Amino acid sequence: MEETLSEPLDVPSHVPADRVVDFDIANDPALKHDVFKRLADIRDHAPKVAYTPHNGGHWLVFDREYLQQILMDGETFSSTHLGGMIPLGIDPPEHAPWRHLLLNHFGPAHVRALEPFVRSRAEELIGKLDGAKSCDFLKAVAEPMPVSVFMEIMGLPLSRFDEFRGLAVLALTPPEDGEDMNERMAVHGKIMGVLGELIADRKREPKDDLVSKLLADKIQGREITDQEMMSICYLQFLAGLDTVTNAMTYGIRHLAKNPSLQEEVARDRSLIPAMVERLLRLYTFVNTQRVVMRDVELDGVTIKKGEMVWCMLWAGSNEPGGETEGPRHMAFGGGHHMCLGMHLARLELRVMYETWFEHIGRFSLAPDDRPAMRGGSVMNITRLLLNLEPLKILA
Amino acid sequence: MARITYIEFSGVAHVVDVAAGLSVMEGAVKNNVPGIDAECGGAMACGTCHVYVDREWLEKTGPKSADEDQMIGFAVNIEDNSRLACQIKVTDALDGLVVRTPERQHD
Repeated sequence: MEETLSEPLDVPSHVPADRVVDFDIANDPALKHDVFKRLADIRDHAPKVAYTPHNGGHWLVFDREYLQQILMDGETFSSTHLGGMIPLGIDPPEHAPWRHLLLNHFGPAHVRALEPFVRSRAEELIGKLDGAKSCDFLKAVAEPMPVSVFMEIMGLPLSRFDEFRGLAVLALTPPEDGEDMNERMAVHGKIMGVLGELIADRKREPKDDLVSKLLADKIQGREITDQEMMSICYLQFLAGLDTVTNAMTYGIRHLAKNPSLQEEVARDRSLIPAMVERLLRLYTFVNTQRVVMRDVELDGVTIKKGEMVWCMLWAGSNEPGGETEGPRHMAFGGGHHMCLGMHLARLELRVMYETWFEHIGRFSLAPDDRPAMRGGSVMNITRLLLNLEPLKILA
Repeated sequence: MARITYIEFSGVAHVVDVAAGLSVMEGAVKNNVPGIDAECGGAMACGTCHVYVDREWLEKTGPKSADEDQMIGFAVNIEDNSRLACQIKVTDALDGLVVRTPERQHD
């Protein structure tokens, strides 16, 4: 009888054997049950700078200092694999003017002005749960809230909320195995269509929204082209929606599993900002990537030009013996590409928790029939079933 | 090497020796001096390593770049002696430098 053995995956000859880990960051089954438990397990057993032959072969960096070094050095560790998306796919020094242009619209003061809108949306969405015995938190709150905020910032009318949310969900939900990728591309096309229409409208008739303001802005003395406008708007869409959804859902999941923390926060809402930071740290769900531009030595190994490096930001946020409190986690990355929307994200999270504790009493995880998490560059949670109890006035 | 005094908003002083070549921000972070967040790690992307440079030292710490000037606009309670600590390179000439940290780095 003949036996067919599958071929082992290829490991390049410059990668020392003790650096190799057999870990598929996209499809590892254990990630689907609990990405953070699995990452802790991998981190605890892997070298600080490891290599996996899966997904075409790439490096994995688990050490905070190396992560900072990589994120600070765009010349060696480039973001150009992102196809020039503005500003995330541009390296320094060309990156700085774009970053500064956008910072003028995403700084703390600009974000503060959005608080009444964010709060009214949170009220509306969470208020609907008054009296409910259960919910899927993701569908009820964490998904619609950032979609509304994106639409408000961009200047898309909320009358198109259902249509736009539908497109956003289709575009941003992680692909299922065997999914028709052409359909997904068509959805992205539709979103670009909506954004393109918006840009054209604001060109004709400016309003008080981000698109109008950017159209009036100059980049190094010149106007922003249509193509650049589309790139900026589309990146805002890709970067600002499912990230907030995930941060909210992982955070509420943590609270659902920790009744004593719920009680503490319910009694004293002033604990929320520090809790937001702690939850961002514990559930740092983005693994950002860089492409190496020249052979470089890291932790005593050579990483070759052209190879991909995955920055395991969760590991940077949660080093054994490292800080456990405060904002110096890596949930927003670091270096020159550090999340432009961090002030907005913090606002959305704070207001969501404040509103949640105004409406919801105790809550706990409801049994779910299948795992809801995903590996990949954004480690998504796709569902969070909760049992809810009505709000009791605490003594 | 320069001996740098970081004074917290509460008035607590931390005196540390910082190697030349590091930044004033790195000197604080590596020595666990509180009051400086430095979330981005020194790329002028976050504005959370805001310090007030003791006025006697303003000349020696030098002028702000245009990029720093813009970024510091996002910090809380800025004054004319506000700097981003990541943009002040430590040299022997800064031995004795005194910087104060703000009440908070965030809103």
